[in-house]
Amino acid sequence: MSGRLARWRGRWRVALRHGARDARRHKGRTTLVATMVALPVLVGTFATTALWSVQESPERRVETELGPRLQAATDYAQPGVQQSPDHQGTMTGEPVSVPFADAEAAVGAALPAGDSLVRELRRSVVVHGPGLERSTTALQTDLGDPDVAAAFALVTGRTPRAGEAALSAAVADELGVAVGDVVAVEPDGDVRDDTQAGDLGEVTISGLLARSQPGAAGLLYPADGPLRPPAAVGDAEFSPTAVAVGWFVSGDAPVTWDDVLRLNEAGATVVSRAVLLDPPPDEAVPLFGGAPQTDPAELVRTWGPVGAVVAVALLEAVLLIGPAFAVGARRSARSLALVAANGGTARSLRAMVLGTGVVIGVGASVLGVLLGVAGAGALLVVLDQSLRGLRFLTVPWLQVLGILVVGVLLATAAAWLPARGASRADVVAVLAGRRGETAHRRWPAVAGAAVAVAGFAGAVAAGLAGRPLLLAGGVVVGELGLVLAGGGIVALLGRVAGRLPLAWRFALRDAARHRSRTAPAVAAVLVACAGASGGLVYSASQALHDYRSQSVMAAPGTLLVAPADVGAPDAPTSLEQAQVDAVRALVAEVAPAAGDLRTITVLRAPAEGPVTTTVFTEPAAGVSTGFSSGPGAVFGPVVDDGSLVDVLGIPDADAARAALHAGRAVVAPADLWPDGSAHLTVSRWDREASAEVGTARTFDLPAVAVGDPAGPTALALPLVPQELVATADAPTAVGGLLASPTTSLSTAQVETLQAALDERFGTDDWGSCRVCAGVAEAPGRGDEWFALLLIVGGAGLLALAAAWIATALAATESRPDLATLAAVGAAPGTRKRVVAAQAGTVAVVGAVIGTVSGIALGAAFVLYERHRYDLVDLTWSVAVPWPWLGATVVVLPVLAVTAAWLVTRSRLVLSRRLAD
Amino acid sequence: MLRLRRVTRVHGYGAAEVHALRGVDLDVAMGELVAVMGPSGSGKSTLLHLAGGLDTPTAGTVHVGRDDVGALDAKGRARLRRRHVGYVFQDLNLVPALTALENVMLPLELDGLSARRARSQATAALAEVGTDDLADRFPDDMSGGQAQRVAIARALVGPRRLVLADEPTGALDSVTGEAVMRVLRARVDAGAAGLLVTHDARHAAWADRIVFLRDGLVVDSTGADPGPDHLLSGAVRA
Repeated sequence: MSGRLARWRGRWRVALRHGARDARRHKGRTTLVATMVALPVLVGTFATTALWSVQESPERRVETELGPRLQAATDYAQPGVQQSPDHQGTMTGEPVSVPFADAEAAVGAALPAGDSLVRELRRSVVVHGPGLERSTTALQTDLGDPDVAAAFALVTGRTPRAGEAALSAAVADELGVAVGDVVAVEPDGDVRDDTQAGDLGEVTISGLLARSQPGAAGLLYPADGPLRPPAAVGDAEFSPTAVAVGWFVSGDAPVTWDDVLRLNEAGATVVSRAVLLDPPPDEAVPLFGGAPQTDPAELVRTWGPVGAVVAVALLEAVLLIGPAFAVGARRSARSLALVAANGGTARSLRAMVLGTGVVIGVGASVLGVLLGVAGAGALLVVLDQSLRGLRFLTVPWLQVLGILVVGVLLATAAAWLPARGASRADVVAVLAGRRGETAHRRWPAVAGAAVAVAGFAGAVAAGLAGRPLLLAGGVVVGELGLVLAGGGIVALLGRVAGRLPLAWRFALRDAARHRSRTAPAVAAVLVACAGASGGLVYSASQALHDYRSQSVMAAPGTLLVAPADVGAPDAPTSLEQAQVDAVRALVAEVAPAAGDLRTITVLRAPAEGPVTTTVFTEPAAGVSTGFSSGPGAVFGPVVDDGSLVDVLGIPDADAARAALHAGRAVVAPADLWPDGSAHLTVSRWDREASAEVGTARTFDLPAVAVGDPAGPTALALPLVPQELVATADAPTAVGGLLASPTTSLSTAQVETLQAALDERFGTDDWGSCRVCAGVAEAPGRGDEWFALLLIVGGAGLLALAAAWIATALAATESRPDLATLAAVGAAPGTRKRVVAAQAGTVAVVGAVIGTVSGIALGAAFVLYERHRYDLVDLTWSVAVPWPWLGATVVVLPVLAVTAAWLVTRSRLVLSRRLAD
Repeated sequence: MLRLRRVTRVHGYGAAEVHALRGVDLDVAMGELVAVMGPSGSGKSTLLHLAGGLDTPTAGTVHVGRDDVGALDAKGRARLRRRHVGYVFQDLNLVPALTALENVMLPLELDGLSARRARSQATAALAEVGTDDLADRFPDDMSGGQAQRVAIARALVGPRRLVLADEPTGALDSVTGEAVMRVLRARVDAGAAGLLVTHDARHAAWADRIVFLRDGLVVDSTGADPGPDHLLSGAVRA
């Protein structure tokens, strides 16, 4: 082998050998760099492995739901059901009752030739142990079929026979029972199928089931167990307590997607081994209706900003590691010059410095991967409370390999600038014992500034336009531009340092002269501060968004009782006089301290069977605000003469009262039309038919807007004076009651009252109240200070680390100059002042530019949230936490300067004016 | 082997302009060791850097063998140093992270030679200067004299035949310095060409010829085989 390839190999052989030895010789530096590389690799590997391990992969689903041999498992739904290949999504039509025997025959007929059905019945049961009981799912099937039996893995014991059952090991642990013990079993919840009436008898435990079982079985009966199939299937009202029927498919023929479609026609949904492992294309799935299942735009929307944050974090890591390599390259300057003197080209020298990066990068990344995988394994064991958790450890090697490569590239990228600088050093100068830095060029600073401006402008524009990919790109480009411009900024400061005191003048000039070491450190501080201030702006804006997204039900502490908007055809929408009296009596009994209950009249008509009559406002502006409500909320329009303004928590109370007294309605800003009116619509709705009844009628009212357009929303708005109600001929009814207790009600009082209301007015199918009681709370402002402190603290540590590394390097390199200063009579404290000023230079420049650019960064992300969807979300607006940002800009440099001052010795170690 | 003709080197420009060399002529033949002497700032080191292609002349020509150093680009000059020219400096000659053998292998490996062949040639070069027992030692574990001998081995490993030595004994005691000069002399006698920059007349005496520089000019030179008695010429005395 000869020529270019041979030289390349020779160059890298020398470089890697030198890198390995260099890493070993400078253990402190190597540990520092390796830690910074290994950490992100470790976190990435841990997160990826943990995510993959807890994710339901097709292979794992096959293992847990079908065991080693079963071809499929089916559940009966109804004929013509549609499903997704992974069985996660199904769609049924109108319920159809099918005799169980017919259903079983139809499903059996749809099987591929050579396969057979094995019936399985499931229901929720309660297992009674000695003094304890536990709910679980009982599954009864023919365990005589070897394929079925193999699907139910046992931890200990044997497969159950007549009069026996296998119990989940976890349930057995909790109940304190073991193999050979007898437990009593009874149906859980309401028994809607009379074939299961009564208890299910006692059963002897023959074995303990492993954690994951087909059908989530916690109790496994053989075919002659106590569960009975229902007479008919397909029309059962949903209930977790009904007996569910299904079949395992045993045999040699795989159940293909075509077979699944046939089984769907017959009424069964299917989990198929063949289909899970090799799913059909989306267009072959009727349930999808030709719609793509993955939306690339949504993926970009979701992951774009995340990608930008990760990219900036990696950039920060590169910048933090960079100075450490710069130190190494400087200390190796003599060695590199010797290599040049022996025929090394610029590429050889670059390779020598990069070689150290590659060696440390590979070592640290491998270590990070090993620790990450081990950590994920430990997490699984902890989550699973047993070593069986490791069974599910899934290491996505391709992704982990990618993370490893990123780690190596991280270290190599960090070594790139020092390597480039080393390759361009003046060899003759270095050999003569002088510093070999070449002249700095101006174009990177100019280009960097232009790129930074373009990047941040693009990010803001993309945020306004709701274009996440451009936003992410703009952010990264902007930060890169600032990094590129860092050297130029330092050089600029060096020029204007003439009037500063000696220490600061020296520090700035020194930083400008040696900007190849100063610029990465400034950039690292800059990126950390940009990330921090961006995070602070986003976090403060999110806190404001959270606050605005809430609603005001009434003044804090007010007790409210109102019909819930449950939508059921027979649910009350308003309260009749008898119901009002009943509520009053209940409140007086349960919470006598609540005081007098006032009725709230709303624009609504009492429900006429399933038909409701409601009045609502037509919004004037197409904007989105927050909306949330608790139990007991009364929704406007409320009829008021001004006396309810305070108790309903209406903002701008005086203006609202004045408007009501003047005969005008009070509305939210979005509901006020430009002509000063509110448009209200009276609509009748059939809850049974889910259709409008007749034609809606609209009327206009003179109105005044109150409150912040962005929120929080006052749920009682709009308020309408009585005279306008009469003029508009709008329907009215009692929409709820409220009281202002002198002492706030306890949670127990409210729960007791609710129980009494449920007793009186009933609940819906899901147990939710039809008439609900609640106590109004003020919209909360989250404790954002902790998050802000974390952001500032984290970024501050990074920035201080960068400033410290750069200062240590500068202090070492400045020794000859400081010796000269000492020789001409500088006081011992001069050295401390100079080093402190060097730290201050890096910290001040980085903190100021970083914080300012970070505000733009945070604003871009907030604007993205505001314009993310078609309607502008007013709850998102840029909130700048000035005190925190001010603290970042001031405290960080002060800390850096103080730390440098404290740790620097006054006495100077005499130094030769020679390169190391 | 080395030929300089009317070589001028000017550093800086304008008011900071410094003429390091002014029209220097010099020849070094194979098997010849030429010593360059002169006060600090006379241009000795610049002469050495030009001879090895670490620097290029402002005017005039430098030939190493058939190669015109001034006409070569940076890669060409690096190739020249890998294949034809070796340097020995006053101290810190070896890359501390590499063993003696690896230091000697360095130019060969950079030139694309396989590791096996590079090792074989480097081992032979170490043996020629009597340091083959130091092959696996790192520079930090060697004495100054040992390190300089390893540096001489590296300067003349493989096809390299021109050694440029810049005060190779400057950091050594006199006995060790003599030993190093003996090795250098022996390598030149074996067929290499050598250019030695030194302040020390005793070490210059090992050379076949001595050239005196002052303010960038060759102010005197002795003839071939001068011997210690002819060390200083009349011009220098004046």
